[in-house]
Amino acid sequence: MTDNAVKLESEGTIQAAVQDAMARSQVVFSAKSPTLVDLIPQEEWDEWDASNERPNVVDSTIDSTDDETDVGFSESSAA
Amino acid sequence: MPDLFNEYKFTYYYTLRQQARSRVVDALNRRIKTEKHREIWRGITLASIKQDAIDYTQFKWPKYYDGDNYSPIPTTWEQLYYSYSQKISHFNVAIWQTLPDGAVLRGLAFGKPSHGKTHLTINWIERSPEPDYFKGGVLLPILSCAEEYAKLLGCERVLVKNPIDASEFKKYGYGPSDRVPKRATYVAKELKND
Repeated sequence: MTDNAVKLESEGTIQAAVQDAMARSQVVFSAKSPTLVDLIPQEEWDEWDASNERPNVVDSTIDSTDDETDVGFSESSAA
Repeated sequence: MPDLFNEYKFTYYYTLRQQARSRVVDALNRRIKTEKHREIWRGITLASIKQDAIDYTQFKWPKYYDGDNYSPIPTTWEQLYYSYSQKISHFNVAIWQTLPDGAVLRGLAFGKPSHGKTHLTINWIERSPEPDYFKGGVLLPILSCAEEYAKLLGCERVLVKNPIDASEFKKYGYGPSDRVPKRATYVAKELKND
């Protein structure tokens, strides 16, 4: 192993971030709550055809941050 | 230190989004059992929105906008990309399908969590206006990824803001709710965090 005099600290930062995120995923997903895909009834899944779906979502209040306010908080306390 | 902290947060949320997509891919693959299923979902990839997706929306999609069935969004995906990138914990996903002639972008979405992460809002979804749209559709993978990411953030619900056709979301469990901001139209779904 090379004994570098100067080290790039961000390597450790990125590794820590990945490890923390993986740990969070393991905890949350180990609860085995089903995904939306798992909840589709088998008959519906076998005949699945979304070729005419109209899924588009257009945020008409582009600059609004309303949806970043937690519901249940007053706007003044959330600001 | 602020740069390192941002680097940590960027990588942390990037990895959470990747984990959410991975869980949805696993769920889809578990349910794809017959040749008919494979025909519907073959070649689908769930990815981060990157420059290749932005380029596709700019150079491939415009010729299919007819102003009737398919209209462009009132901004560009490039602008949204730069805007949402400012919020490190934002949600994004691109649905690609690899066909013999190359990769086709089927749809993409952006969203963001609230400050206290009580909810995740999906602000933008656009499906491909190209004529050979695939049977799987983009809504199931997009909503699935959003819900799994919201669970990782600890959110209680997922909101969809200003859907063009709110009825499209009903079969996935989304409907009117009192627990949404008041200044726009939302459909919402409560998550069961075990």
